[in-house]
Amino acid sequence: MARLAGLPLSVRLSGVWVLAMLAVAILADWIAPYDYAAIDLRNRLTPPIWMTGGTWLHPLGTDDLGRDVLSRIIYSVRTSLAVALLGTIIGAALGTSLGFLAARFRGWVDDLVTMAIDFQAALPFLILALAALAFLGNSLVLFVAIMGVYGWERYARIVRGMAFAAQAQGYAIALRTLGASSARVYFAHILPNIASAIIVNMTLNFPETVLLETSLSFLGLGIQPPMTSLGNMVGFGRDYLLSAWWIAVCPAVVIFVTTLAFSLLGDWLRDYLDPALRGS
Amino acid sequence: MTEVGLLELRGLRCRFASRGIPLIAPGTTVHAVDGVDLTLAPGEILGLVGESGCGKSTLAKALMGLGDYQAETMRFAGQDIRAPLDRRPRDLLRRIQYVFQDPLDALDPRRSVLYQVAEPLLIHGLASGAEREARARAALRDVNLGADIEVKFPHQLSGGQRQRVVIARALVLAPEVLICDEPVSALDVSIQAQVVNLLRDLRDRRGLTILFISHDLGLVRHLCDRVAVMYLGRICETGPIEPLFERPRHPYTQALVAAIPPPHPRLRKPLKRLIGEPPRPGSPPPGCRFHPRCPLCEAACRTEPPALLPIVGAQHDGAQQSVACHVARRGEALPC
Repeated sequence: MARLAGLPLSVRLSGVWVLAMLAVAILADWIAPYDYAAIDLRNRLTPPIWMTGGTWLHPLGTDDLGRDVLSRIIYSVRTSLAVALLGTIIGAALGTSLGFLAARFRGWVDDLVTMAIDFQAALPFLILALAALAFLGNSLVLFVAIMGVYGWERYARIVRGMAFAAQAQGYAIALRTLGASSARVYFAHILPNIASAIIVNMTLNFPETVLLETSLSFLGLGIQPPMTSLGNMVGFGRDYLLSAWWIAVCPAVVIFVTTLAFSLLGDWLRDYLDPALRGS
Repeated sequence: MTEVGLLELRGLRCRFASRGIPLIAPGTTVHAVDGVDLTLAPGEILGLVGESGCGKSTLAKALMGLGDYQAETMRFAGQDIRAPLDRRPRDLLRRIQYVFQDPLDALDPRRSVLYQVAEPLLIHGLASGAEREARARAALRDVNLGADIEVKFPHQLSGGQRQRVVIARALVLAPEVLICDEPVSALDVSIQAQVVNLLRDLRDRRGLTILFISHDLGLVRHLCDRVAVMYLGRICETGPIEPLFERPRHPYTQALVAAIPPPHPRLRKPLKRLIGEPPRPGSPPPGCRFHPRCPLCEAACRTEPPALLPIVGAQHDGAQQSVACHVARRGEALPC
């Protein structure tokens, strides 16, 4: 644990923030002062506590229906983190597997994967997501699946290239001459060697997934009311941006700080996971 | 060449094809190894020498089933092993092991030494859990590595330690043949000696058969029983170490032997330098491949490729010296 002492402040703060967000997500039912759908009509559009008219009843104010912004943020963090994390993990797993398949079998499998990558990259994803949600109907499962499909092509492209390079390296050839199966070579050896690139891409992909969730929820095709998410809150808060800015700004700040914290942590993790950089 | 070998190779050809650009540049095919016969007797250390690009490593990789190769015969203990690596029986992958030139490249940078040495046992399902680790530790002891390096990663080791880890990883499967592709050329001279002595010791103790590829003739002379000299994809001379180094017949071997630095500067002889560069393997010269650089070149050398044939009377303890040279075979141009 001596290593932790030398951590930069930004990484420590990021770690604290991410842990706090995870705690909030897990403990939402216990720490939220109100239910996210509870309406307090007598206290509509109450400003946050530090502004005149603020009340301790609603520390971050209320929205147009008198719903407590703090409680809604707490539940939104749970929804958004769950959706974005699941989506990021699905995307990473999908892209990595396809990248490995392309590198392992080459030939037409590689051509097919490369074509799919180019196809996906050329597609305006938001429109594809809108179409899928419109035609297939909105459900949480489908929404998470769409988040998972988002960005897989970047993992696939990175992994394919790195796997091609890695499988030509001595250790991969050595393992083959030792009789190792492809699964062993790719998942037990090449994967740890390229994990840093995947993790970095995940930290880049995560905030984008949050933003995609925001966009879709803003357009009314994401998380559906009465469920709440950070994006959905920003979307609904937009109408009151001039009169009651806190409805949109509070969740927006949470989005910003959380994505920044994940990126900083990911950066640090990449260096930490690289034994050549870790120093002996 | 009638001895029965543990590893027998006849007519090996290894190809490298470049695809070219349609309508602009035609694809080309290079035979990096073009008709090589080799036999390794059990318990023998055979040195394979030659300059960079002559096809030594390609030959070694073909023996492991890597690359694009064809052979009339490729047998191990009587069994046909012409199949490429992916289709070889698992048992064969255990019995023939390969030691790579660059040990840092041959080891996974993210796995501990003990894991990587134990892994072949896991792959072949030969031992479980604690026994696997015990056997890996034993293999590390066999190559004179202490217990302190078990938990280390490859980048934390010295070059010699790394190469010994690679050798330990090969030895843990108790192979019969070790193919060493320039195992010491990336190492310091002092460490080279450690590794070479280790290989010799392993042969003496375990009867391991070793194909030792090198461009360092001094090392080959120190370690090997027999040597095969390769030039541009073909074997030009082969024979037992001492007679061949005492009396090389092929002009190329003569030049190589003359280029070994003597132990003392006063013993230095005037160098017979070879003129010119080796031709490109893509367009090898007709006839004897050495003829454009050969001081003894005759008319026949330009048209007719010489076969590798035994030299009459050059037999030593049952090992035959053979040469592929028209002139040397006639016995006209034996220098000194």
